[in-house]
Amino acid sequence: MSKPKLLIVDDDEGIRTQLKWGIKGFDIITADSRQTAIDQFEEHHPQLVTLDLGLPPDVEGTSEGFLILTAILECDPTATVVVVSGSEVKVNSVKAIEQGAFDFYAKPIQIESLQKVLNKAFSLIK
Amino acid sequence: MYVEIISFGTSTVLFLILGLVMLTGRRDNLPKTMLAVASLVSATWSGSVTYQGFYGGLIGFTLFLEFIRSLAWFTFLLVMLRTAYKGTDQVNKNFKITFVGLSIFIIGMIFLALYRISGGSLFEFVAGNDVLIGHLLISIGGIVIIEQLYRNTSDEQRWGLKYLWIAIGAMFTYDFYLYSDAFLFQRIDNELWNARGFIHAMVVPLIGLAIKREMQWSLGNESIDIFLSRRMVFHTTTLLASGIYLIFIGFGGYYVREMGGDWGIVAQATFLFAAILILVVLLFSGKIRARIKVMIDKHFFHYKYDYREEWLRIIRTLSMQEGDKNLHVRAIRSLAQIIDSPGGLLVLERDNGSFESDERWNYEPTHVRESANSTLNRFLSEHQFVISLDEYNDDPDMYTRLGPLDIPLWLSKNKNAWLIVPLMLQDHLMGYVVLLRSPAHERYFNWEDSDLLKTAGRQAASHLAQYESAQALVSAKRFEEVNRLSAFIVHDIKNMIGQLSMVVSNAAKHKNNPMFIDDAIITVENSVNKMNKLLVRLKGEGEADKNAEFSLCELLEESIRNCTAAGTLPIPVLNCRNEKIMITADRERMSANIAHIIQNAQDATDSSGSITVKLRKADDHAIIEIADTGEGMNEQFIHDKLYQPFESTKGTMGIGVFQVREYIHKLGGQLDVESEVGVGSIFRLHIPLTLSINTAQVVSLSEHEQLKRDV
Repeated sequence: MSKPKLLIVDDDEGIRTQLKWGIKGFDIITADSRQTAIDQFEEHHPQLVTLDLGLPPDVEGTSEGFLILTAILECDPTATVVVVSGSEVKVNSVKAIEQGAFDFYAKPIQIESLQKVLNKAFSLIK
Repeated sequence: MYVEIISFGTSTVLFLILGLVMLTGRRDNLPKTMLAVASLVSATWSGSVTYQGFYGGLIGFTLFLEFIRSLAWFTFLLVMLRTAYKGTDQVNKNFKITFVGLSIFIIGMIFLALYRISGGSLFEFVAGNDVLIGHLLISIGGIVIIEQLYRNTSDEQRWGLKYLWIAIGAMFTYDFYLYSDAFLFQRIDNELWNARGFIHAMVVPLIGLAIKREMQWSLGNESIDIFLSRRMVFHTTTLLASGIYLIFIGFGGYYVREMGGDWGIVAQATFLFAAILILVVLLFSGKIRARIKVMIDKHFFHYKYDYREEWLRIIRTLSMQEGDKNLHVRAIRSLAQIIDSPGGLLVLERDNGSFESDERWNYEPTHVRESANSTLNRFLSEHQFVISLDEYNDDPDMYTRLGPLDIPLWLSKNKNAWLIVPLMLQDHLMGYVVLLRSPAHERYFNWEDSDLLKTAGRQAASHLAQYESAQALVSAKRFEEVNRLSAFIVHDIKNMIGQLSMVVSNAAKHKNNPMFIDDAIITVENSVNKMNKLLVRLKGEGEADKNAEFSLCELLEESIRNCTAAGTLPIPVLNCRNEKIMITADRERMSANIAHIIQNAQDATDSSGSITVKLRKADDHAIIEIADTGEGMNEQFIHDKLYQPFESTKGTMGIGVFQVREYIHKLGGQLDVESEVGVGSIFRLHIPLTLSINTAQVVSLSEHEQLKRDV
């Protein structure tokens, strides 16, 4: 039985690499920009997505992340997206949930806790 | 002869000073001008007599001047007399006739006198007496007009004018006495003639006294006040005192030489030099100057201050930069100057409510910390009085009957501390200035000083408050920058912590896997790079732009593609007019900025609306115009929020239009925004072109390389 797919969208190569080593139980696909994220999502239809909000060109903001969230949900309204962000946590978490994200994870990332969030999300959508 | 020279010399000097003083300030009324003319003509006549005493001759000229002098005084008196009557046509006509008649008479007398001097013998039986009779008639006429003027002077005006009438009347009376005697004995008495200069000189202070009493240059209802500059009075007084001093020294020197025998010349030179040295020292003494000023203010003017001048000086001192002296020192000086205080201490309210010493000027180092509830602070705050410590020490009840007041020890033990001036900002006491004792003013401190100091204290307080507000604003802006920077730093640090903690966590399971080790090294290297970037940012150096030349039209096409990749609507329509405009900039940053504006337009515009992106060239600028038919912004939003970092209508912490504008400014360009609610917005980016920008005008890089190789 094949593993469920997880799309990790983050512009930080170190985070993508370490998540690939650390997160268990998923086939991991990565993307570092809006375009690649949309392409990968359309190609692989992953069951889960972790989405960093600060992506180029708005690395210090959140506009790119929210655009990707909108695009993914427009492509598949049932997609399960866990938004990951470290800035303006309160404002962004509320906004992300409002826009259709499944959950919000506040940086800094701890492998174990993120794993639990992803497992819970996957168990709920199964 | 010497007596004549000294007598008329003194008269010359005094009338000259009077005439010059009269010419200062406004000369917008006839009586004042005529008094100046009469004084100056008198000075010229006296000068002519003095010259005659020295060198002889000039008899005819001196006689001529004496009649002109009489005419000048008559004219002044007639002009003054005319103001006593209502200026009807008939009155004016009568005065004109009188003036013309008088002028004809005096001119006739001039010719007669000149004729007699030259030996004319017509009507020999009156020769010698006719000129004397003319002088007598003139002096009698003068006395008559003075009597008329005195009668027409009201009781209120008499206080100011009586000395003027007494002075001029005395001149004519003495002339009458002189010429009566001459007529009686058929010769002008030498002693009486020599005393004439002194007599005329004596009346000048009386005229000055009348002017000092702010006489009005009219006896009727229409009056014009005389303006007498305090500075002019100060300089004149100083000059006069110096002159009198030097005359006495001259006599002293003469005496020393006569009595000194062999040492006569040496003793005289030494005496004179020492006397002049003392005079110079005295003139440069601040204390002496202050005392002269006080004396003038006290005796020559109704009010102690020329308020206009004082106010200008206060504002000048507060506003102007004087070397490295800060506003706080200048605030002390602005108050100290008013009463010639040699120094002061500024005590200001602190954030914790206490009052502490701030700056000092020529004041001994003093540490002050007063509670806001101290009786001194409460008294100053409630009554807003200037406290004179001398008055307080002499009679504490003067103050304590208004409310409790205890002078703190640090203030009472400083025997030079004199005044406490409150600095009131509206009704709030923001501090006070302690001024040191002024030797010239200490016995002469009154309500005028108090009122002026209090008002000047308010002005100083406003300046200090404005300065502190500006400082607080600068601090707030710095804090804002730090907060913004710390938000970025926290974001990056969180990422680094995440990376490194994942490395540690993963290492426990994969440490023996060479592939993981390779990835871990890459991750750590990534973190190191991030930390270096952070350090650069913390040092305020920023990330260097990767400038390169690129086509703006291509960049816009790419930006539009990126913004519509996720299917976002509306799709912007690009219009580059087929122009290939090149600019030199950081392509990535420019792309991010343009993408941001386009995304903003998409967010603000309904999918049925439209967005147009235009590129054109105007003079030495490329203009990118991004127009939408979205919801638009009102003027207040554009003014207050659009350019504020982290302000967003989308609720996100985006780079914002602020950063777009910052980058365009960095390139030497401009960002304009036009918007109307319900109609849409237009963002215009003006980006300067450089010589290498328009590819139509320059050689491309590859061609350039080819050329270099060919050469």
